[in-house]
Amino acid sequence: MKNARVDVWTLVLAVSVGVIGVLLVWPLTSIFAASVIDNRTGDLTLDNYVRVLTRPFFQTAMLNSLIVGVGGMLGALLLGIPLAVLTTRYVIAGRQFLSTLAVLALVSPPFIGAYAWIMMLGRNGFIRLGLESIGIEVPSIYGFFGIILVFSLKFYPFVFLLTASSLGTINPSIEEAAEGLGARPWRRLFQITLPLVFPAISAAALLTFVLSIADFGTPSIVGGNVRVLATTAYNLFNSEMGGNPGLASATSVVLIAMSLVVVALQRYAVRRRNVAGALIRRPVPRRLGRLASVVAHVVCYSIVLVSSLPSLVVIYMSFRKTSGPVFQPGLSLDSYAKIIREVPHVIGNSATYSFIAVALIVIVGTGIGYLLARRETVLTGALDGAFVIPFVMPGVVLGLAYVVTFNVPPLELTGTATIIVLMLFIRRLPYTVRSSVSILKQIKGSLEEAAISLGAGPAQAFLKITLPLMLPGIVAGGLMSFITAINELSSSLILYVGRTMTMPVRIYLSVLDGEFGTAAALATILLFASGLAVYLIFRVSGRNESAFV
Amino acid sequence: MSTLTRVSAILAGAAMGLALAVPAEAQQRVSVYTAHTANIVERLLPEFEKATGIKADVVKAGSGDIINRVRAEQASPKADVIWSIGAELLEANANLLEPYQPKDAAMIADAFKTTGAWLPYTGILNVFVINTRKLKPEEYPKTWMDLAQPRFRGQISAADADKSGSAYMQLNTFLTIYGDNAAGWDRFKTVFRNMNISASSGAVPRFVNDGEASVGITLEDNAYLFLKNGGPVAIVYPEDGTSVIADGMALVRRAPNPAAGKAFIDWALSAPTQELVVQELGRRPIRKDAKPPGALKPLEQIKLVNYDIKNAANKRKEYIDKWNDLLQSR
Repeated sequence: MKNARVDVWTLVLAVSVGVIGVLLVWPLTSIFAASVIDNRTGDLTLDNYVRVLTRPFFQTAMLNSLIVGVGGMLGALLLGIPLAVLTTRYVIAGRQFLSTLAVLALVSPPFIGAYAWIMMLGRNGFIRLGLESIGIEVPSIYGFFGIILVFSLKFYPFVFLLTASSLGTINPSIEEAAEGLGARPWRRLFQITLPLVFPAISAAALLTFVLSIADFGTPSIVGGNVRVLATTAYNLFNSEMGGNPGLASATSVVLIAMSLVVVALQRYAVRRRNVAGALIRRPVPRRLGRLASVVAHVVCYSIVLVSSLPSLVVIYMSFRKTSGPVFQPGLSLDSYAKIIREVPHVIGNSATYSFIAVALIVIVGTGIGYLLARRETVLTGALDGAFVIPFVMPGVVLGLAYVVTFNVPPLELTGTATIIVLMLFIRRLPYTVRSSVSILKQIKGSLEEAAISLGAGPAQAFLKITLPLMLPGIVAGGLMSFITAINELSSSLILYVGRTMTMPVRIYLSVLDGEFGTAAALATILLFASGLAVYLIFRVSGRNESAFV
Repeated sequence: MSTLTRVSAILAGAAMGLALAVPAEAQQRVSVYTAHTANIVERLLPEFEKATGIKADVVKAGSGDIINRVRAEQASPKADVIWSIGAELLEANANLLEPYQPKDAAMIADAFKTTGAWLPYTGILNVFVINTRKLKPEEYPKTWMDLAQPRFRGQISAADADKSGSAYMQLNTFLTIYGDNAAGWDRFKTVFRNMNISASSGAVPRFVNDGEASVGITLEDNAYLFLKNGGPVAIVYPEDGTSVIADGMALVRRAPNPAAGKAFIDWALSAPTQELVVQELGRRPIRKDAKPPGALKPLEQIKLVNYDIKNAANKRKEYIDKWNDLLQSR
């Protein structure tokens, strides 16, 4: 009995280590190796790093990445924290509606937002013209303002969801004690409430920073003259493809390092801050005074509605009548007819790749999650550490690493659908692993042990006892992976060939070529696929918004 | 054990899905790398597939990116045909290409004859595209140097010469007129200062059409697409000169499907395809027997400079380095 138990999970462990080794460690090593090799001579050199760190061209890109990273993070915090505090601490009508819209903003691809904002705030954008007619000047959408605006409105739901769920678990008696001791509401908020949820806020801040510096589509569409590291790496890669992509690789390593520094900072900041809330009763939302209530509602609804604007614009544009690339007055299904006629395989590809990747993620992720939660060894510890990598590895970098690694034998995969599926798989796997670990921590291991002592094998015990208990969590995690997989742009853009083109790639190319009609129609299809997945997540997880982070 | 069976069924299903996702090579296929915008590709490819029964796989990117990709794949080429990219790039990379004598070689107009490593596909012409709501006719820029006027600051949309074949051609045209020397570059800088650089040449007429810029430097056919469909745009042919050259295509050396690649080139040069490209897309034909698009100004009435493709190919690295210096120092 004891032996059989070791065998099944040892096998899973071996497979996991193999998968991580081939799909993650090897590509990462290759890109690191490429960064220290001279493009022409093939000698070992630090020249690429010297250039990246000393040339003004790269220094500017680095500085710009920092600015948009910090800007996107601050913007998201500024929108997300008030929304979380107001909706959890006070009575806000339509709270469910607000959180649903916030989640929908979260699952729409950010570069769609970027181009919708051009329509609204570009030189000829309807909102700009409207505001100018009443004398309000808006800064140009091209550049920092546009990038940070898009990031803030795109990423604030992470802050909102993480902070709100943390606010829901702290013991209200601490806040009440502060009140009883005479602290005014503002002081109570800043000295008691926010410090208590600091771990959640800092985790959200970290997440938004990492996502902001990794984002490729937004700066390349509304960036104007602002170059960031992600776009620089992509451009370098394109112009270096003939040789070893040394400079692009060095830029990528710098980008990863930047994310790692922030991860370390966040971990340092929350050390010893783990306030395990002894949850006795949930905080009850209070009623606000009439004026305060009006202000609170205006704040909440403005944030959520403004962040939904890009999706509405995209949906509207997809139904506009078109003639060639020119929009005509009136509505029609032209753009949809066009994509169904001309690029049906792109829609099929996106669906197929995402489904296969998610099936693999769910199977492998659950297995690895089980190992990490129930079998703590040195090796599983290392495995856990390895999962930080995809989290801090921007899509552009992962795409580059895959080209460098899988363009040559023994595993020549470039140009195939397999490489895109594997990329999607490895990018989203860590999230499913984490969620299954946290589900498993809530399920007592003794249930399984009881089954084993009654004569079940370890595999049978897992499948019959633990798996059914995990199922709702797994399904929600799988759907979330599906949403991110079907919206993936930056790695696919590097790895695609004609027949493996996906919807986000096609949308991005259309936007670059100025074909907004077809881009909008494809984007609307993506939005609806993601919306459907959101609906299903709500169904299986009983409206638990934290399933989204 | 039923759950275990179900799980293995899912696993098997996933594995099968993976296998299915790698397509079977039953039908004859051709792999095409092109700088054509996606809408042109999607308009023309069904015609090709109908005419030849061959299925085409297309990778779309800027001219520069395409050549880089073909060079990177030199050891085991993935592309059969390079379709519609800047002529000087093909000229400069003849070692990546396989010379081919097409069926209709005799029908190619003399003006577009090439050295043989590659073939002309259509004639392309650089123009200014103007937003007619933002500028009155008397305010239109008439020459390249007009673009340097302070009133056009940030109002001129252009593509990145490093990525876009047409943008490189525009830079070269300017230097052909004003001199490939310090004075010529100084003049170019005054125009460059007013430019907004977009990531793709296809975006330039779109920006002008949408009023995001009042003037764009672009290919005639890209502008024509917006004009034909009722967009608020006008086309201006610079009075100090512009260039018309062949936009090229070529068979890739050691192409995986050379027969299909040749069939593609023959199709592209055939009379029906050339007619289609002229009528639908506003490109200039390279066949002796095809008429230019009706709505566009005849070539004889446009001031053309003597555009030297060989020189453009030889100087590419030098010019692009200078261009990138300009771009990186702004």
